[in-house]
Amino acid sequence: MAQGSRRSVAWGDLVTGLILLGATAAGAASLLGNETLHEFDFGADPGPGLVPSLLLVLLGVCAAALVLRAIFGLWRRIPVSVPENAPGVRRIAYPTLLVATLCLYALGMPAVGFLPATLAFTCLWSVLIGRQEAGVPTIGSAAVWIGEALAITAAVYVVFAWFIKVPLP
Amino acid sequence: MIGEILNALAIVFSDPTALGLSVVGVLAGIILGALPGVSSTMSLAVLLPLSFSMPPTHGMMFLMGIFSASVYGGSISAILINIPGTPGAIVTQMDGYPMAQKGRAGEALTYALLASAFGGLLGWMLLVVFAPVVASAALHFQSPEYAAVTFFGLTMLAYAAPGSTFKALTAGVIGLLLSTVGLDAVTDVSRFDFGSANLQGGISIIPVAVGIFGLAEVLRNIETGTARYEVIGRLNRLIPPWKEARRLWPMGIRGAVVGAVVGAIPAAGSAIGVTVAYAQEKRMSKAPERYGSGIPEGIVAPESSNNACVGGALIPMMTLGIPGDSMTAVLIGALLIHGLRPGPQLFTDRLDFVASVHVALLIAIVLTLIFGLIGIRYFARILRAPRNVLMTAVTVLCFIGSYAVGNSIFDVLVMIASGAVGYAMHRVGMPVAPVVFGLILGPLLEENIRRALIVNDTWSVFVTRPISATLLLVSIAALVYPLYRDRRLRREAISRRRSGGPCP
Repeated sequence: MAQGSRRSVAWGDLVTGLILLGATAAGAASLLGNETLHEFDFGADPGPGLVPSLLLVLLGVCAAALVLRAIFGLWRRIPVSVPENAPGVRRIAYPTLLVATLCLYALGMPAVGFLPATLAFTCLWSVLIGRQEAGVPTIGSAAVWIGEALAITAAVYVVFAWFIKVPLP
Repeated sequence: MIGEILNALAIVFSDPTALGLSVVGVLAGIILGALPGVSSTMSLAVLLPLSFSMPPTHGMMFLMGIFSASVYGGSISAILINIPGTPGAIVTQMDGYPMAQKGRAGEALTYALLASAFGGLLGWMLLVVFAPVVASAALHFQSPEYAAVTFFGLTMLAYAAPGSTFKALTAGVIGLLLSTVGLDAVTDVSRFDFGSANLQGGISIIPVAVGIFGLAEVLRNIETGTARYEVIGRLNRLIPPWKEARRLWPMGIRGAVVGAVVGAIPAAGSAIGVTVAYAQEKRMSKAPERYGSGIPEGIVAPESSNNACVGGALIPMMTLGIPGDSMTAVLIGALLIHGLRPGPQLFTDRLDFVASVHVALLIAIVLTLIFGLIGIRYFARILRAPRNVLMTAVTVLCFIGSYAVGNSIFDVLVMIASGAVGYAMHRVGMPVAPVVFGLILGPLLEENIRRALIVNDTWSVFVTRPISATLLLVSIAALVYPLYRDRRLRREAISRRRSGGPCP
């Protein structure tokens, strides 16, 4: 394994481990702060706190092991499977943008309605992904991508609102 | 069981809607399975919400059509563009594409289709024969055995997952923890709600499955623009020579048996089945060096195994409620939405529904064969679908599908978060399927642990009952063995470095 790849794995494990340690701490705080779990006697039932507590301990151990492995490189001489992509800002730009626009889509849909929100979203991404494939668009190609977005919106609306009868905003 | 199956067949053939839904499912499955970047699990997860408003039997006709057909569909792109459409087609491309390059693309596609149908039918027969046997045995299980079987399923997933077993186990623990969010089923005490009324209702399986198997794949796909691939459009003859086809039957049978057995092991998945089937045929061959050069033998065994896995994976799913692979994990979500919990009780209380699932799979296999034969000349066109249309449509389907679960924006936000987390997990080399498995199996595991402790008042019950003890021992071995293997590999690598050999 190339040294650069090992460092990528180590950084990935370190970040993951720290995030999971944070999640474990948050979960532990939630359980400890839940007075109902401590107030009642559940009789023969070990109670609703047992399994979550065991799992939190297990998660904490796994997270700590990931962090230790990253910091000390305990297993760096073992051939391990390396994630296929090295991290890079350009590589995660489109996925990050998609997640952000999906959140806007979700929060905006109840306010503006399904059709306008979906139309805006599909037009944006049909053009962005089309541009990613084909480079700088011509007027013709942009018009085709917009047309495809309109078709997707219409098809989804017909299927979900008319056939499945989902009450869309 | 045979009586119920015949009854279910009669009902389906008198119901045009059910047949129509199977046709739609099969066509959607073939098309989506053929497209690179859209896996069988993703196809099922994204289209699953369309089944919410259907009666359970209609929903199964639709979903089984997608399930069975998409598994076959992956071989189309494997053969025509050297990119497997689904994980199970990874081995098919090794001989399928070279065979297409030699001008035998049509024959390669036909071999894949016939082997898929054959393997699918054999897998179906094993499902019909063995599922009632397993269910009958499982009816004698008590809480310790159920807890042990659930734990076994999770550890097998960690063992079989690609990459690090330790990371797969961590992902499974995350899924189990997510399953504890919300109101406890027994005492109604709220856990991990962080003051949110939405979280008190718990985290629904469908948005998480759609996010992890659907949106996360879209996020991976749009990282960069993909290079255009060359589609082999010229098929030449479609019907293979009879003499050649006739000697391949035994390979189809062996591949199907391997696939059904591997598929029945919880979490093993078709990728393992096809690899074992291919390796077996190569080992038995008198000319193993020919494998990889474009021979039909390299297509028939793995494709037969691939589709037999479908029937095999349904055995643990229907009888124990444990997913056989990631696709059956999504199917369990579908059953739960319709108020049906898979397990041995289904075979006593709803044998009619079990029979309808068997019939749905059988019809899906037959329809896949029919539409596969009709559409073979047109498959190349599927592969030329514009990527912007595909990715945008799939994203919107993920969005609306998650919304349709409970008409709630919260479910959509859960889907988005799951997709983002699934994508991040892929980037750090952590498998994502264990999260969904943990979310599905968590309630079952907790319920049975607590019930076992209520009845027996001691933890030793899990090790004193023989079935439970055996399953726990196998589970621990499955977790410990990779550590021993990694340690051995490390020693070998160090000794190679000392002797001046190449580093792995």
